[in-house]
Amino acid sequence: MEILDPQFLPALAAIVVIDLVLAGDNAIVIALAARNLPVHLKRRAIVWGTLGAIVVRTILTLAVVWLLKIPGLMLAGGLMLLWIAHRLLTEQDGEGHELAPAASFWGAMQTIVVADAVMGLDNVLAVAGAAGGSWLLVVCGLLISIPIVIWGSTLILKWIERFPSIIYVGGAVLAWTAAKMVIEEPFVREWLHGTRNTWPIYVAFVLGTLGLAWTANRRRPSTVTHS
Amino acid sequence: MNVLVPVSGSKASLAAVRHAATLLRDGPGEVILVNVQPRLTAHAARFTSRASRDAMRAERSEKALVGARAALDAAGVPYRAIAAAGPVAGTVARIAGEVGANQVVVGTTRQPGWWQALFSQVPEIIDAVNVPVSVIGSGRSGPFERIGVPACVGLGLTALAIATE
Repeated sequence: MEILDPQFLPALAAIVVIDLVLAGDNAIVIALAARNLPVHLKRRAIVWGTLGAIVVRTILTLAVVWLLKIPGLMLAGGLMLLWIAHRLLTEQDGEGHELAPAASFWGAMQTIVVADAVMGLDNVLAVAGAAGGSWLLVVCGLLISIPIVIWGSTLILKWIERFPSIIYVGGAVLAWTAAKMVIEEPFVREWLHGTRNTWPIYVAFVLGTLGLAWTANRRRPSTVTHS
Repeated sequence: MNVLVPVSGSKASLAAVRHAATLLRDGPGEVILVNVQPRLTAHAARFTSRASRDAMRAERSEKALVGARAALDAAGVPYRAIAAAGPVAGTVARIAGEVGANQVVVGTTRQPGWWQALFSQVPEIIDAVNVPVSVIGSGRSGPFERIGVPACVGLGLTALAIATE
């Protein structure tokens, strides 16, 4: 895909949105992991954690673009991305794994490194899917995500809290990218017999993901503390 | 009369607190301040402990409530504060029912109607609660929020439509 291609700018816009919404989550994990540390260690943990996020993204980007060429992995990646979109949109409070808050620098770093690796993979998978095999777009996605991770995350978090609908826009872009990856899988394309109208698949992925998360969030009771 | 005020720490929510104080200055009742913090996404929550999430939310709620507490202390109006986590409108409605609020006073920055419908949580609160709601408009937000945010959302949706072609 070249810069003058009509698909280039929309794909780049999707990559920017993906980077923005996923970077907010990564930042909050780093901040929470480091919150119990003394001030001087907290700063160090945040700097190393952010650096780790960048290194992981760079290495994984190279691996994922290559991996997605293996038959079947585009479909698997698309389905995995659909799951990530669901997790990004669903609020959680207490269920799942319970980790003890890290009190030591290395304890915090352990959490940060694991989170960087897993969340970095989520990010790279989404960017690679949106880029559709274009190296130019993949590199653009990586270059955009680095400053966002370093400087933009706190600002993004503020905006997401002020306008919670932003997260739904991000979830929609992820679900759309997941649909694109599934459709681009060679044997799915073959199964669709070259159907030109694939938009019902996009609509089903996006509306299904948003609808499921919205319903789940409304059903989850809020927690209240009196003072 | 019990008046519930959702408080985010913004200037608009502080204006609502001041209005609630004037309602209660000469009569019985209290102001119930409610700060609702968002929950973490399941995507981020898996790497964090419940204890640290709760501690972070408590800290942020306390920070958001400082101005409101000071305003009510200065006005000499009795109040209590509640910190909660969850979706804003549903949580406010639930607490309003639990504490027997007679009225909800909510603050908002003055914005065009379409903007309020798309981005503000006030219409959702009005829809969710079963008692009268007073909306206190104050200030005006900058051009970025008024035009920039909807323009970005519109551009994003257009980009998606082009990419799906």
